[in-house]
Amino acid sequence: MAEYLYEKDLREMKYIIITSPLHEVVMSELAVHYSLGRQVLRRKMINECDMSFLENIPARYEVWKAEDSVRDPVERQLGMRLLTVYIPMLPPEEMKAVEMGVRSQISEGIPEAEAYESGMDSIREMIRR
Amino acid sequence: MKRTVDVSLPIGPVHPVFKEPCRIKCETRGEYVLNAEIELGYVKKGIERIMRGRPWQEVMFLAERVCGICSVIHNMVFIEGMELIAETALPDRAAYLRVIVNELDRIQSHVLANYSYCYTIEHETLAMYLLNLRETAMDALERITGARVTCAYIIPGGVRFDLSDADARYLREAVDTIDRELNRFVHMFTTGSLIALRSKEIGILTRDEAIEAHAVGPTARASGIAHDCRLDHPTYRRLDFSPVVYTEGDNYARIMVRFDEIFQSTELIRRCLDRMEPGIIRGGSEVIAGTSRWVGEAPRGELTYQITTDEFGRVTDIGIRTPSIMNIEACVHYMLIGVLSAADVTSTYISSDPCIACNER
Amino acid sequence: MSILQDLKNTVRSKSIHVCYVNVGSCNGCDIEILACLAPRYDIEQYGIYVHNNPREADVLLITGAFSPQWEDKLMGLWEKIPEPKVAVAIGNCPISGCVFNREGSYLDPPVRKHIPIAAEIPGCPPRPTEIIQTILTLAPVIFRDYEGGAS
Repeated sequence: MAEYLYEKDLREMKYIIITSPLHEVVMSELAVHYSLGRQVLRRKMINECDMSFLENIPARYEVWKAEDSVRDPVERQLGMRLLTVYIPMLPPEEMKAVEMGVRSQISEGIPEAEAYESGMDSIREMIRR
Repeated sequence: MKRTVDVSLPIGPVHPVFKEPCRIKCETRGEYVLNAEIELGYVKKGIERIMRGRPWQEVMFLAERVCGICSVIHNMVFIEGMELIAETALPDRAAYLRVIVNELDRIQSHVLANYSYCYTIEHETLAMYLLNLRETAMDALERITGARVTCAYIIPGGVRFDLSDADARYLREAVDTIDRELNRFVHMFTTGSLIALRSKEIGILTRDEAIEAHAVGPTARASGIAHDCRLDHPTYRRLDFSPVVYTEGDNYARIMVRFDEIFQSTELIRRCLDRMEPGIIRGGSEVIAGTSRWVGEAPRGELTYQITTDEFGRVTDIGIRTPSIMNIEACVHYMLIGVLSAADVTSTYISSDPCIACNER
Repeated sequence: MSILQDLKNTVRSKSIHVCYVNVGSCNGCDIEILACLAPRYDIEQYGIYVHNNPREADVLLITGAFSPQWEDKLMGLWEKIPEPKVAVAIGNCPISGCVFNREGSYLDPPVRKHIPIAAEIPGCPPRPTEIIQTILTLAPVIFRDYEGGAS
């Protein structure tokens, strides 16, 4: 935990922001999709995003969902752009590595569900970190 | 986002140009802004939590107090959401009156936003002219609704007061005054070479960035996104108009979109007055259990209310998404990056017309 | 008190500097304070100058009920204002919490728990004329019997 000279610990205020009714909808969808606890997701978001990002999460999630249909199934399944661009909580390089891994697994003939599951595992690992 | 930088420049929470408290933390190299963050929570009230479980009669007034500047549209969107649940038919005259009051509210909000911008770039003369013009709109609003701010004019099934012929004449005169005066001020704004130097090519928000952050309202329309929620509204659709769009995406374009929208609003008010027929101003029906999602165009952009009620007319769940949430985010994370001086940070921030009270609810 | 001090205080009470701070209001009161600046009400003709710098203010206008982020900051702001000073609560929110003083709210009204308040203007929001009148009524009171500031 970083020590601040004149900054306040903002985690409490951020938690208040992230538990509003519209955030709860997004959070429950994400929690089901990634099979993670809501508190784990919230902790990651609070650590990585500033307050206006946190306020804007429902709108950004909607934008991602709107462009979802034109994207490929790997994106839809793993949500790479969602987690790096729309809700920037994971580093893009590591996310790219995960994506490449999943794509190569699929091209090697491993069943898609299995490849997605391995990708999801590493994403879960990154979020828990 | 935690890095060691040359200078970390905190602006706020109390700052001469901020009308509301918030804190912008800029990471800068010299005065060049590399990254910006915003710290909120100074006006967090928890309105959604207070609303839950209360009868709609109370929630109506709470909804109005989400934001004092654009109180009419909050009232209107909440009431129309309730009407959607209860399937209330709206008298024709009331529908037009709602549009008139909403457009007057938009005029005063846009004038206030442009006043703030002119004040921030230290053009106090134009700022004071604009602030005085706002009083004309406020007087008209007060004459129709009985109050300057938080007037609770729109009620389920209609509106609270009728518009007499004398009021209509007064309103026409007020709208003409606004048009005439504003023409002069817009001329001052567009021909002022120093204003152009402070505004053009500063704080650019490109179309892709605007889409990514889901920017709405004048901020999005200045970046070339021709989206206006009024186009989906049943009453506005009868008044045929098209949104004002600029493509530059800088501070200047955002201010000009607001100026042009004021002219559009005065035109809409005139059209409503022309088409209004005498008749009843209030219908009614019974509130039933249900869920609705209603979107309206606030002065700052798209405003969404998601309402669930039970059979006694109590609001059991409510979610509010105000336009400032998206616009402030777009401003802090895209417009401010690459701004060349600290003075431009405040003017860029103000040009996106931020409303912290909306943002935090 | 010397005649000189009396004279100084009288002159000072004709030039009031005002700072405003929003500690969790809905904006309604803030824009009514802004409306006071407009040529219609013209607060400056009374010798009142509104800006937002606590270091040279005499009157602090407070709008809004008290939100948690201000707990450590409002007292600091109040201490930055030089003597003599008064705080004026504008609107119902700082007085009682208005509609926000309900179950589930994050606010902590009234503001007079946190800093001393000299005058309160009820209304949701009060009219600009009422705000100006209150400041004008307070102006002679601030500097009455003030002994310091001789240098």
